[in-house]
Amino acid sequence: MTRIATATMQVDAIVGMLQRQSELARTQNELTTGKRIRTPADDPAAAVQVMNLQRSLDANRQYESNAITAGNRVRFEEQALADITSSLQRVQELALQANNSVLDEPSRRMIAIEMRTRVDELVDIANRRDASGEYLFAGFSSTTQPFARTAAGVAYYGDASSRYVNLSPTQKVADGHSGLEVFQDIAAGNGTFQTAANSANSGSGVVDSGSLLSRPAWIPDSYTVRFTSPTDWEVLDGSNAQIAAGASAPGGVATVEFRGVRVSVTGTPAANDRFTITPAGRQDVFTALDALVSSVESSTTTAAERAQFATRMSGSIAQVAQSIDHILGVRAEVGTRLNAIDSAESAREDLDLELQRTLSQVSDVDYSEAISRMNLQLVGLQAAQQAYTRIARLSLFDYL
Amino acid sequence: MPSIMSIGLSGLLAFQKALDTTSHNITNVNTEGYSRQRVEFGTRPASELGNGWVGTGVDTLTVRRLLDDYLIGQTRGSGTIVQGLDAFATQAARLNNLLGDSASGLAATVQKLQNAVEGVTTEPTSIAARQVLIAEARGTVDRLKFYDSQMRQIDSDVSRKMTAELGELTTLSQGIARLNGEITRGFAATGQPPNDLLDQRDLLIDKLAQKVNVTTVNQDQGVVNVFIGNGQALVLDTRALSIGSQPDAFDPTRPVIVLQSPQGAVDITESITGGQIGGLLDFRRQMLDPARNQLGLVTVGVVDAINTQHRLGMDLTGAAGGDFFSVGPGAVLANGSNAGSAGVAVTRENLGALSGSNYELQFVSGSWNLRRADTGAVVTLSGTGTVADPLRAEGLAVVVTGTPAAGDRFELRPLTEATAGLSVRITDPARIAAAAPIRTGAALANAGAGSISAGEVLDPANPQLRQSVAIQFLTPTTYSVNGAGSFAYTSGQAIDLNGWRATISGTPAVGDRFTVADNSTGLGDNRNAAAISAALSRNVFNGGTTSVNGMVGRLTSDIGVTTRLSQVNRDTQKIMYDDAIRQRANTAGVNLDEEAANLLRYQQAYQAAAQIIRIANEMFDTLLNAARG
Repeated sequence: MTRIATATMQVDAIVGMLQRQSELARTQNELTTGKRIRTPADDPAAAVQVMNLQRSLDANRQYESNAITAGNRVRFEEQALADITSSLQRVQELALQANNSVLDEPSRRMIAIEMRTRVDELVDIANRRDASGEYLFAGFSSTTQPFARTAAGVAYYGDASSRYVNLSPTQKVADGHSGLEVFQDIAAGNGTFQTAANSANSGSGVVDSGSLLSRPAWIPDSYTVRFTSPTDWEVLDGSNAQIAAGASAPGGVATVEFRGVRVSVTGTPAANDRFTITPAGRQDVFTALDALVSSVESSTTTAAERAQFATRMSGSIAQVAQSIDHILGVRAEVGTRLNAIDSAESAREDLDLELQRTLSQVSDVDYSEAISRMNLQLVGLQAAQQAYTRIARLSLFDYL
Repeated sequence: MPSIMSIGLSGLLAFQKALDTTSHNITNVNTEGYSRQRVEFGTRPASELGNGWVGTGVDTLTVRRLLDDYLIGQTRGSGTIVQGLDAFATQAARLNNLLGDSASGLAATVQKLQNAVEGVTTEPTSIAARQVLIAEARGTVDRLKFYDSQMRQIDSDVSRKMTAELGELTTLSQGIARLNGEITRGFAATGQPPNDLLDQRDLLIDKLAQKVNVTTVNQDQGVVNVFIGNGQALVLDTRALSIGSQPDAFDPTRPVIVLQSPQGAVDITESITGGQIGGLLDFRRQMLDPARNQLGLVTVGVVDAINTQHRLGMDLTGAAGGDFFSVGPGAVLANGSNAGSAGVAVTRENLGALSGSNYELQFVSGSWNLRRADTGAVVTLSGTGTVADPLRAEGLAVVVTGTPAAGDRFELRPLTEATAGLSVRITDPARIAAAAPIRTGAALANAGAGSISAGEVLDPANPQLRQSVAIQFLTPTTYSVNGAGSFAYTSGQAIDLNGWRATISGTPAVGDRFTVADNSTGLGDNRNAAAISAALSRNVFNGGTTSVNGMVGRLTSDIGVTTRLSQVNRDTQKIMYDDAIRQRANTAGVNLDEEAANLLRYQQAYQAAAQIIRIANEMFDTLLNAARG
């Protein structure tokens, strides 16, 4: 038999009740907050996990806002590119209309006036800004107006850079193209070489834009096709050495083939008329359009002038088509960027759900378990209270 | 005949004492430290009547308290342990609650800062996004400083509490010494133990043991000597030594425990274990100091990641970035007894090598020795200590000026002041360096398939950094720089010039040109902001294995684990302590029912003894009447 001190009985009963009350308070706190973890000590490993999950969720929210901002900007660019395409297509229509020797000069001037308006419109679009006032096509120099007309044509004041925005810790997307990429980096001629008629030509020979027969055979250089008579021609290279020669039927087409290229000269060139074939460089949209307008405005009184006109118009029309193709290529890239932003968005939503689910598993209270625990603790507390009141009342002194 | 009277009387006296003692027990049922007492009865010497020994009544031999040294030692020892663990756990819980809320916690704050950097990355020309970044940077500073100030508060509370406990130690030891004297006198006067005084003294020693680990030695005449620490005497006979605190020789805000012995003041801080004081010391050593240093690491990590990258950038005004944050320097505390004139400065050089510990630097026989404060391990130093060649160890650089004397000591705290000195330097949103100062480009006419990287800044202070540089290919394998020289080209090899680095790769053709130029119009550039965001996620600590967020996680889990462990230890020890207390109470505690029964028992015995007196009286009367005839 163990002897028990009166004070021990009292203290034990009270400590027991306090203990149960503190357990109950904890359960109550879990139930009211819905959280299993209040401080790191409750479950250190889970607390760090909760911290990291919460952090990933916060980071995701930022990536979401990044994607929205980048998406808006890319959509602005997409709209600008669509406007540019339709403007260029209108210019192309006008050019085809103007490329008609039957049309008299005043009619062509009328066409030229509309073309100029379209070119100005294109400069305006190229200087368009996004919702936050940044120029769309200026590269990093997004607060500098990128395009302005100078005496020498439309000049570019931006740079060649593009800005990348993070869509996730590992994925980023460019939120625009520089003006250089959109308006300037366009292949001239047929992409390999370009043809032109010498302005001093007196015959009616017209050169086409030519075609590439064999790329390995092509040696980039400045070539000249010189007619020694209306039917005899020779090809000179950059150092004026003859590398090919031939003749065509009178009034027929002179088909000049050398070093993997073929150009055709129609009409009747005069002796000593020259046509040049130079490696294609890069030509910007505005230079091409300015050249087109000045071709449209040129005089076509003499046969030679008409021949010059025809050569220049065919070159310009080809260049406008090249520009439209180029812009369409840029639009395709913009489309893939929008797709990337959209698919990153849905991937992020999936990740968000997964993170939320894990977070809930780690930190949320299991209500059914907590409620049954609370009931058990309540019963325990009641039992302790009842036991105390009954035992504490008993004393031998009551019977003395 | 007289014997029956005296026998009855002896019973009356004995039972009266027993009733007194029982009443004493009953009335002290709730007295702290009281042990129940019991009167021990013994027979009086019998008288020899020739044909036998006739008893002469009862004697009270002594009044005994029902307590032994084993029970006292058991409760006292586990009391020391449980109080130490409790003091630790109580303070740990404060630190733990500080880091409690994950929504407003450190990790969330650092993430908000990174999000704000991302916001600037997405809209580098937006003043609003830049203002958000400055606001979040201030928020991070506030949060870090809040933790720092709270930890300092806990630190000073611990110091204050220790000083207060030490004051009580002196009061307690003086009480014990006084009782030693009274107990000796009590023994001397009666030869019997002065039970209540013994209880009082045991209670005082119990209380002393709750503050600090003590050992006791019983001497003659009931004297108990009390020893503290490594056997330093605290109470000797009737003399109590004064114990107190004095400022630490390195850090005057912290008290050390000093015993005023006859040989002079002795610092016994290191030998104190257990009890509330020991628990507080342990808490500070094992939890608070490491936590403060880890917080310092987080601060230094954030600042270093952002500042280093920000300095490489260019702001909206076209100027170089400079520092985004100011951060507190490494602290050096000189020992108050240093004899030399040396001054020491410590700087953090390499984040990856920082240990998160404090250090003690000592000048011994002409050279400097470094010892870690947490492990006590000796750390090898390189260098001489001059500005050009500082002493280097574990990511730190130490510069010594002046002349040290032999034995001079300094405490290095590389991290503790970092957070206190933290502030955001950038106030103008335009001064956030989101752009890089240079940009690269390729000529449109380039015929080859070469490309140039975006370029990175190596040295923002290079005066030629932003000068235009044209790299032109002379042959597919050589290039000139600004029209001069001929350098061999290897695809993908870095070209370092004027404080920048760019990489050309692919197969450029002859005549192809690449440029590196000033980017001062590039206000829409976000490369530096993107690099800052990336730097915040980079693994910088522990030799490049732990990120800032990882460090926050470690701080949180370390505090969580230590707190939980201290609570579990305390609760386990508490069960053992409660058990010891119960065992002691089972022996020494008063049970009222028992005392009630004793009351009845002694009352009955007293009444019986009174009846003996009556019988004796009647016998006397009978005899008188018989004699009268």
